[in-house]
Amino acid sequence: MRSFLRLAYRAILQLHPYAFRAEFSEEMLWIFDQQLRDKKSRDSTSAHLLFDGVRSLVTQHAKPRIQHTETVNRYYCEIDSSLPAFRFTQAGMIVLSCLCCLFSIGLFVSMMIPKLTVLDAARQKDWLLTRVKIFSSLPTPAPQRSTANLRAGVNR
Amino acid sequence: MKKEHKTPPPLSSAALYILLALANEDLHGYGIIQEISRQSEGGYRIGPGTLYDNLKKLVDQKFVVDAPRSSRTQGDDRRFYRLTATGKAALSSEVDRLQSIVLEAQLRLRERKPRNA
Repeated sequence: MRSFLRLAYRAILQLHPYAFRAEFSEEMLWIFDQQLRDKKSRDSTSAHLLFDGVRSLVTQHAKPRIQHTETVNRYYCEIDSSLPAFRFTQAGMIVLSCLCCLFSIGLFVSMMIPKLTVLDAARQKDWLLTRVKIFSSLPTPAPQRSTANLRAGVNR
Repeated sequence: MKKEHKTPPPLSSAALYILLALANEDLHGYGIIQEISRQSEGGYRIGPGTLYDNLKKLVDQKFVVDAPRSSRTQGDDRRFYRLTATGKAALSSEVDRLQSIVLEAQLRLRERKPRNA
C-alpha cells in the first residue's frame, strides 16, 4: 500500500512544471516518505499528502507563466521544456472523441447496411452482442391512397 | 507631490508560518513542517506541496534564501533555508498588521452595547 501511495505521489510530482520539479521534487518525495513513516499520523496523512500534491500541481500550472528567463547577451534564453498537464488532457480528449466518432460510425454503418455486419448466432453469443433494432420503434408510414380513390373523394 | 506609502500585501497563513519557523534558525523543508506543527500545537499542518509552493514564492520575493553549505552539518545534503533581512521586515510588518487587527477587534468587542439596553 505504501509503495502504491509513493508511486501515485511520484506520478503527481512528474506532472509538475519542469523548473519546479527539478528544484523541489526530491525534497518533496523525501518529506512524503518521512511523513508516511511517522506512525502518529499515518492514517490521515496519506490522503492529506496526496491531496496536497494535487493542489500544488494545480497551483503550479494555473500560475501565469511569467518567467524571468535568463538571457546572456540576448543570445541565450532558457526554454521551458515541461509538458503541461492541460496538453495531456487535450490530447486525451482528442483521442477519446476520435474513438467515439469511430464507434458511432461503426454503429451507423451496421444499422444502415445490415448485410455488411450480419453475424451468425454463434458469434453473437460468443461476443455477447445483441442486435439493436432502432427502426422497429419508428412509426410505420400510412399506406398511400390510389389516384382512383382520390378522384372518387373529389367527386363526392 | 504626494508621498507614496506602499504597504506590503498581507501574507498567506502558510507563508506567515514558514517565515515564523525560519525566524530563529535555518531549517530544511521537513524541519519547517515540524516547526510549524510545534508552533501551532498541531492545529495547522502543511504538506510538502503547500510548503514548496510558498517557499518558491518567498524565494522569488527574496524573503528566503538557500543557507550556505558551510553552515550545515557535514554529510547533510538537504537544502536549508534562511530568512533574509527583507523577509524579517515583511514578517514584522505582518505581525504589526495582525496586532492592529487584534487591538481593533478587542476595542470593538468591548464597546459593543446590547441593542435593547
